[in-house]
Amino acid sequence: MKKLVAISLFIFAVVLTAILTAGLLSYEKNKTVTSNLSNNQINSAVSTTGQKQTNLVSVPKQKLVLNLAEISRHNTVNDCWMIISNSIYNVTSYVYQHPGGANEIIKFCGQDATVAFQTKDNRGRDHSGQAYSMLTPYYLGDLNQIIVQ
Amino acid sequence: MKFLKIHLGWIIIIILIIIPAIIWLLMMPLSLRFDGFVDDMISLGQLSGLLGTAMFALALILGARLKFFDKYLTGLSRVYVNHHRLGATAFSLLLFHPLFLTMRYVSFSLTSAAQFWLGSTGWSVVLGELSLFGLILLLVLTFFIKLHYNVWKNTHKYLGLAFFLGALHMFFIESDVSRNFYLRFYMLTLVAMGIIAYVFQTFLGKWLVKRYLYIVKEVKSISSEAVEITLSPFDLQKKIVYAPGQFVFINFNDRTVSVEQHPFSFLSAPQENTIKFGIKNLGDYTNKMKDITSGTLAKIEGPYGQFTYYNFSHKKQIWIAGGIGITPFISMAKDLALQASRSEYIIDLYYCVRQPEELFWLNELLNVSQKCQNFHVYDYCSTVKGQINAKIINEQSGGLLDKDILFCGPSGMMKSLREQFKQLGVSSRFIHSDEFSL
Repeated sequence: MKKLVAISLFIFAVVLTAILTAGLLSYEKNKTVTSNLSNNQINSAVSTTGQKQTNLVSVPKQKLVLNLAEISRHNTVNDCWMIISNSIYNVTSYVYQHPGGANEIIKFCGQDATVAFQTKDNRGRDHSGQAYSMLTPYYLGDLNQIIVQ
Repeated sequence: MKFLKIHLGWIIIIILIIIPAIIWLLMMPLSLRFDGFVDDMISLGQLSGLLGTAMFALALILGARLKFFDKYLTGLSRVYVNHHRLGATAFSLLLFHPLFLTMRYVSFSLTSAAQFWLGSTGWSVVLGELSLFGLILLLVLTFFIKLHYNVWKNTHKYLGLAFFLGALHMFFIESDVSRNFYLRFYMLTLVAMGIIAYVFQTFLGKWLVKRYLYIVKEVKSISSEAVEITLSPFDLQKKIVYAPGQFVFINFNDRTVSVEQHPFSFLSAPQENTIKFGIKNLGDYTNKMKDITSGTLAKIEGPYGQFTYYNFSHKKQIWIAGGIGITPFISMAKDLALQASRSEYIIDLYYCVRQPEELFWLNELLNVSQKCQNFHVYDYCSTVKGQINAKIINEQSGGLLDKDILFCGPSGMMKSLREQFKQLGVSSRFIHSDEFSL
């Protein structure tokens, strides 16, 4: 039994170390990419307006009705909104983090994904409570609500 | 059928372990459970968690040292061996449980995979992590660090706390356990029984378990390495009743020596008025036994064990003792000599030691062989004749078939001889051992 425990512990330690290291490196890399993207946005804002700007370009705020027509316009992997239980979520930044794969989300961009979410697209089981709580940061508003964007 | 009757208890234990897996499998079609890499990882993670928890609970239950288990699970020695095996297997499964669940993230996001371990998914996962790291610490101490026995025993108790944290994790996390009533009910029951067994053994045992009060009458040095301790009951109406070959747990009430509790096999026969134990100097505790004085009180818990010669089917038997493993055989040999009804037994006893001076109780055995013509003693010193093996025993005893073989000695020796006997065609059903260590 000592051998079994030793082998299991070894595999555990190696895999955990690899995951934490790779995860940290991946996080740092993504942070750098995001920071570069932000800088590019500033630079292009300067060149467009011809004026120096010290902050990010801001879009004038406008009212938006979260109706079906509006939601259906956000139907691509780079701009993905969906309805789950009458709440609207902008899951664009989450698409590639989805444990079940990006395609499972892309299929429902711009649509009502309530049944798909509750059945894992007809696999007979709901998402976990944690998955539900993970939706919170992506929440835009309720269906037909008017929001200011 | 006899096999089933003897091993029914262990078959029930195995069934109790696999029941959660069966309920889990019946919850939905297997094709949905294993429908791609991510689903495969989630399913393997769930299965390893369920089986690991069930085994852990049963390991705790077996660790409660109940007389019931001694009777129906082929003896307390075997119970402890399987407690150890269940614990080790449970631990391995529980290590793989979070690894499988992490792998579901790896295919698309290493950051998410790492964040899974850093509390991003909620406190119920954190509980599981605390339980797992507690298990790792305590089981590394059990398997890989040579601690003083009392220190190890005190750390081992904290496994109950790790188990409790793991149980909280299982019940608060969103999973098949939370979604299925039958699975939740079964696991709750098993976990509750594990916790009750743990509390009983760790905290309540000293009040609830029956113990006999004895007084040390004599401590005799057999050699520089061994002592023989004789005790008599404090109250003649409250004597322990035991079978030859059984063992007890003893606490000597002498703080200058030690108050630790340790198991020892009876050296005496049940017919004797006093009880005796033969103790070899093998470590910190046993080294102090020679310093115990007569008049010292001792609390005796037991008896335990099913390693008694008349429990087995054949009257022709081969007994093999390695070192201090001779003690249960001396008790059995004396019983053989004192009980006329056992005269039909034909016994060959191989008393195996390294040096001739380690044959501590050879004279007592030779006395028995003079009284019982069917009882033969063969002393075997490895420094003189080399290591004993199954072939020598086979030739000396005129064959191995239609005989029960009883071992008690160092685990390496027992394991080696067991394999040799199996290769010579002896069925495992007729090979019995009494473990002094795991």
